[in-house]
Amino acid sequence: MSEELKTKKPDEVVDVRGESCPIPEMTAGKKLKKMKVGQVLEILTDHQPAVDVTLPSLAKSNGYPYTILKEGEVYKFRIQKVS
Amino acid sequence: MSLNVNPVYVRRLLAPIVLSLFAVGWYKFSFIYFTASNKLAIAHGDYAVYVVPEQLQGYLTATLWICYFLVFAGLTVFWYNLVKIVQGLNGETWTFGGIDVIMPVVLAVEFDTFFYLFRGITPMDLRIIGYSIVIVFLMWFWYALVKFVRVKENG
Amino acid sequence: MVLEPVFSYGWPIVFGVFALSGFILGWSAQRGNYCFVNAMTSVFTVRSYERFGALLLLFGLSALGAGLLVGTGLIPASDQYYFNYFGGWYILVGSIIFGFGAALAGGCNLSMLYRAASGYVQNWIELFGMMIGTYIFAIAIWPFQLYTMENGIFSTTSGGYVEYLPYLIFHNVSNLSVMITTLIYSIPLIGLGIYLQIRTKKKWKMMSSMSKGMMPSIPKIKAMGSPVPTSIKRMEIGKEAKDLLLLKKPYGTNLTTVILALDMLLVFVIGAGYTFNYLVITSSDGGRFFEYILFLFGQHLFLTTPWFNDSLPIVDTSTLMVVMLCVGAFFSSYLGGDFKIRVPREKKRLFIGFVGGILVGIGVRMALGCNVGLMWTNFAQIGYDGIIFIFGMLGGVYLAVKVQERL
Repeated sequence: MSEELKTKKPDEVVDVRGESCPIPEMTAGKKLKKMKVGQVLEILTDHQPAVDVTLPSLAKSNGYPYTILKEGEVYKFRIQKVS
Repeated sequence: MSLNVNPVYVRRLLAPIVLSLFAVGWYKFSFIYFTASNKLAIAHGDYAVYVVPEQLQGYLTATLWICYFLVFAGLTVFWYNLVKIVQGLNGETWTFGGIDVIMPVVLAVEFDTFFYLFRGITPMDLRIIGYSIVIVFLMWFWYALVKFVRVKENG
Repeated sequence: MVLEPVFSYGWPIVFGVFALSGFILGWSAQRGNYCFVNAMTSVFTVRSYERFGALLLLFGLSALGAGLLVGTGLIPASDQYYFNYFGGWYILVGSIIFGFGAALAGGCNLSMLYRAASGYVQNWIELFGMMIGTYIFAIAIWPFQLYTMENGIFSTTSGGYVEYLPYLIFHNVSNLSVMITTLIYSIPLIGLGIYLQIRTKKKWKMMSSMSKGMMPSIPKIKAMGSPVPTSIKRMEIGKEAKDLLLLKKPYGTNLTTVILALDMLLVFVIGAGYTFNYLVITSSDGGRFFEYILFLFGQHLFLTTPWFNDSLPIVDTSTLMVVMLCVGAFFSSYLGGDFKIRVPREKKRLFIGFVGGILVGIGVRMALGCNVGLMWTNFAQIGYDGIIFIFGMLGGVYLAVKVQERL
């Protein structure tokens, strides 16, 4: 699942670079509600707490698998909405 | 030579300099404005705002020492990153070795020896500065040792 | 009520230790991404009680540590309750406004400072807004609030032992009464904090096993009944410790909690009898620094403005604590490779941050302190204002989350 998330093109991308908590997880949560089951959301962020704590919490609370990619100074946090 | 400087390194140069300047500026500001404002407060009988001289002097002494520490720490980090940038510009590959760990210890011993040998003729303030530099080099040694361990682990 | 210094040393030492504690506070909070507001927003946004549980743990450990020091007679009780605040309507109202503003702006007082020191421009704006909010409070609200405090209108008319729970319960401040109250007060907090954390982690494990496929990044979900060899455990702990020391990994929530609790106890002991011997940052970052900026223009607010002329000495230990908090957070982010000037993509966030900062400034001054200077500190003081504050702040944060969802 992790490899699939890393290679699959995301269906939606949310750019919250420069934002700090609670914006990344709130924006991601709002977006996920509108997405269909099976779709992948990618959140672009450079806020370390979001990557370490709040976005994983969001995923874990909903039981959604996630993976984290890093490109330079930007993190790509990918969550897949599952049923 | 093409100038292709990684912006991360530029940030790493400016930040410690700004910190050192801030430390000096903060001490100077405290010394000038707090002392004057304190006198103004007592002149107006505002005892809630007035700070007793021992307390104010204690604050200024602590701030002065912190200023020394931050200036030296800032300049040390600045120098370290400058060397990295110059080496990067020259296209050198840099491997961190035992010499980088020993260098700050050698410098600390040098300074310590200098100020010990000339303790009879150097004023107290200068000796305090000198010993502060020695402490900074010992901190640098710790940093270098940690780095050395990381480099060794990563192969 | 008399302040009794426990140890004999000069003011440079007191200021130096408070500066060190500020450095430790900034460093640890930055490394552990410790945010009181985030702990509360997580409850409402992602239904996670992990960080909120850590907060309760922090309050419980601080109360237990301070209470044991007093209960065993090492520190006089007067040094614990001397600076206890007044209690009244303003604590509740102020904490609601503070919680709302902090969640809107993206940081409580502590996280605002350490994020500002890590390069977050939104938090610089929030800090400036806080200064403006402090001034607005001073001219528009403080005269009325002071009147109610002096006349006991929905307010106590003094602080100190009047707000001290051992005195309220036992009508004395003997070592035994302090010890008993400490245990009754702190152990449920610690227990509740641990319970909330365990409950959240159990829920996550349950959710992950229910979803299709394993969640790839939940580490070390071990099969039931298969013990891990001690040697491998030791290696893992050793590697974890090395990663933390080399700044490769952030500090865990509970590690940061313990460090902060010990930091609080450090100033509690060293400052006892000399000054406000708790971690306090609000007076400086909101009020004093605004006053200091105006010094540069020849203006002295303490000569002309309410609150500034009767509540704020020119300088005290919190000044250096705040400065070194920022320095500690800067070093932590810089050495960890996290320092970067960050500007929000949506520029409206800067405006929201400014408005939030103003509300933070008004709220903390009304409540006589912030999440650190009043809420956390008051738990260590074995008072009840912190309990009022936590509920008020939760209410304010909840409202802000609802507003943010619509923005």
